[in-house]
Amino acid sequence: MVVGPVSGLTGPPALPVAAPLRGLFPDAGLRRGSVVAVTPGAGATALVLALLAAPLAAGSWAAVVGLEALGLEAAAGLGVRLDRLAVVPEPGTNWSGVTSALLDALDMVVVAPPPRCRPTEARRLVARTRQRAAVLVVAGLERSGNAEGWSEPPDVELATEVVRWEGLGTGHGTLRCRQVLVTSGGRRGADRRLEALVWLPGPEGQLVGTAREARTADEGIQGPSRVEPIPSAGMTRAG
Amino acid sequence: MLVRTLAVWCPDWPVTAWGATPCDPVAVLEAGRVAACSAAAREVGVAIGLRRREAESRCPGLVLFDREPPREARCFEPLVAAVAEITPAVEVVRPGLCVLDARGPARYFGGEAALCSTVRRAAAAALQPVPGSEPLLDAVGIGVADGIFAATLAARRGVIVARTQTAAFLAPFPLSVLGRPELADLLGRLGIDSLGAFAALAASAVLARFGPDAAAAHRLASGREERPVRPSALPEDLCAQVELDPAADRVDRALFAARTCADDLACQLAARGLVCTLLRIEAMTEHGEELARIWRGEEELGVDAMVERLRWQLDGWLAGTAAHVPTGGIALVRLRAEEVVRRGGRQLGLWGAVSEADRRATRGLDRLRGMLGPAAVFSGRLEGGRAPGDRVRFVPWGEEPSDAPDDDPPWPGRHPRPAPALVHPEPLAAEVTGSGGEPVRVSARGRLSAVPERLAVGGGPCTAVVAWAGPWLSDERWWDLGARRRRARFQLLGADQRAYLCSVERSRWWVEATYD
Repeated sequence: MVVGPVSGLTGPPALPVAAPLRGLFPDAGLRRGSVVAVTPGAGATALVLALLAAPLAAGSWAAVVGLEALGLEAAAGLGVRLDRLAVVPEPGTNWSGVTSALLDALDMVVVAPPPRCRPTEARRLVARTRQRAAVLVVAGLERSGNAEGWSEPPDVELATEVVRWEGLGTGHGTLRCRQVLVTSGGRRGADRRLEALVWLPGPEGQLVGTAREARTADEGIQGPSRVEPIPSAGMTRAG
Repeated sequence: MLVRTLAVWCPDWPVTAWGATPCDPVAVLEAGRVAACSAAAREVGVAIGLRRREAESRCPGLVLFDREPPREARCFEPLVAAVAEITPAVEVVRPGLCVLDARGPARYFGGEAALCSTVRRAAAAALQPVPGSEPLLDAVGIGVADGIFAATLAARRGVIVARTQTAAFLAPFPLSVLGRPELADLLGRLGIDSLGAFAALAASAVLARFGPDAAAAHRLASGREERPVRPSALPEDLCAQVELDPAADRVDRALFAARTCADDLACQLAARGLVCTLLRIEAMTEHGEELARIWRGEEELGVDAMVERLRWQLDGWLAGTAAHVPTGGIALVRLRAEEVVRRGGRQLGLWGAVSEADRRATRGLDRLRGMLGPAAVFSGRLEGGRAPGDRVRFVPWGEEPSDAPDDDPPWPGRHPRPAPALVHPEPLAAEVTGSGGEPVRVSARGRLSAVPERLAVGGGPCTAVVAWAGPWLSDERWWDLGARRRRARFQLLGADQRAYLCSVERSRWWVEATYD
């Protein structure tokens, strides 16, 4: 008798992820009922938006709670369908109630918890995510071990590191595209550290992969090999 | 054979619902355009479809209101209740217009003229602002004719059209009364400008040349029913009901449960390939009172249209404007399709249909809107503008945006792509200094006092500026002294690879957006 990985057999199919980021996830998608944390840092907001794009294009609905500064034009540029995205910029003190109600109804919820969120609230949201088979993305918060703050370990933890910006000189040019190294870690089968080097945003505002996509950190992307040629407009459309 | 129909029509109902009399210069706006206006405003040239500014220039002192269909429905409910005292089979077409089958009541009251005056008195009494004052008999128009279309036009004139005279009565009306502006425009250019001229065309030729919708209009214009076949008997009892426990005394609570009822009825209809044109809404209170009202759809009633009628009706009952205020909360809501037609040409695509996820999301977001209020859940729309903050508008969830400036026309000076991922609602104060530590200033002609070397955002630590570009000068709304803003924008990239969109206004630096 052959015992395969359980992930493919249980529950509804995972939510899709844009191709350049697919290698970061052990299921090649956002597994339903899982919690994804995006560590704050340069490029984190763009990564959150890039994660939203593929599920919305596939017919899911999503909401963003508590990120009042979200640039929706950048979101549209990354391929997010704005008509399927609800935004609750100021949920107030009942942010966990709002998030919980949204998890009931939608496939994907991005939440920026307040810095002093109680562990019980975090635990309840994680439980609700598992129960409703939704995906919860926790953004803009350092994970902390102490009593205050988001204390629940996520299933997948993503971090960004900006490699370089292209296009801006000293007194001339404009920002054109940015190379970002996205790393993922976590517990659910994601214990190996995975990396993806992407253009986020690419020259036309979208997410573009590089020749070096996800691979384990041991293979490493070091030194000059990190520098990838800027994708041309032709490549962009094909991607 | 068309049914003798009596129509009760309130002129300019959206205006009347706001409590205005015909002598007040009042207009009601929908999506930035005039949707209805009072007689006084019409006299000085305000017309439906004008833009707000044009209407104001034609009539200084014009009082403007926004259109509120729930309010119109709520205010109309007492009138419908009063007419329903005379004959129960009143069908509400829209707030401001209801129709009833005139055959039985006319015999009972001794002729159509007697019925008209009875209905007029009852309706006017229901509308009078102060009980006991002189009823405004002119406030309603009553007309009798064959069929709803002709009766509505007869109500505008306040006449009773004799049995065989419908076609002759309709003939002089302009084509605009058909409510099909494109068809009217096309026929106008062909030299056909009245219903009579249109009706004189051969029906088969109209169908062949202009399609089924024009054929329906042609049948209306020649005084026949809009649809050639109307099944009078329902195939079976099509109804859906939901019990509310505990009984709901607020509209939003009742509606949340009753929405499933509308979904259920729509599924039953869809399974038989039918759509509802006449919807009966029944409710029972916890004290056993029974309330019922019939709504006629001007077109086919889909789920959303049914829910909208349901919201209006529950609001009318629960808000207490009706003559008989229910004494308790609503314990049961029942929807019944009273009249159905075969679903017309539109076949939903295999992939384009509304999925279960869509329904679940819509319900959940409606619920959240009820929890937090209308101005808490938004959806974003892209629109025209230059700065990143101007190019996105947050629209309360479920509302259609009005008159958005289009994204299409060129916006010279528009900020270059890619767009920043964080657009700060309130710009962050920043310090940008040159090599000597002096603040960088920008002259009116865009000359910099020093090259930007160091940047500190929101009182944070200083970082070196490794790349920058600008200034892009913008002089917005220079024609309006109060709203004029002159800014110079820059892109700055710090040594930590964080990029910012900064602006200088009145010698102060701000971070408008972050390329996060």
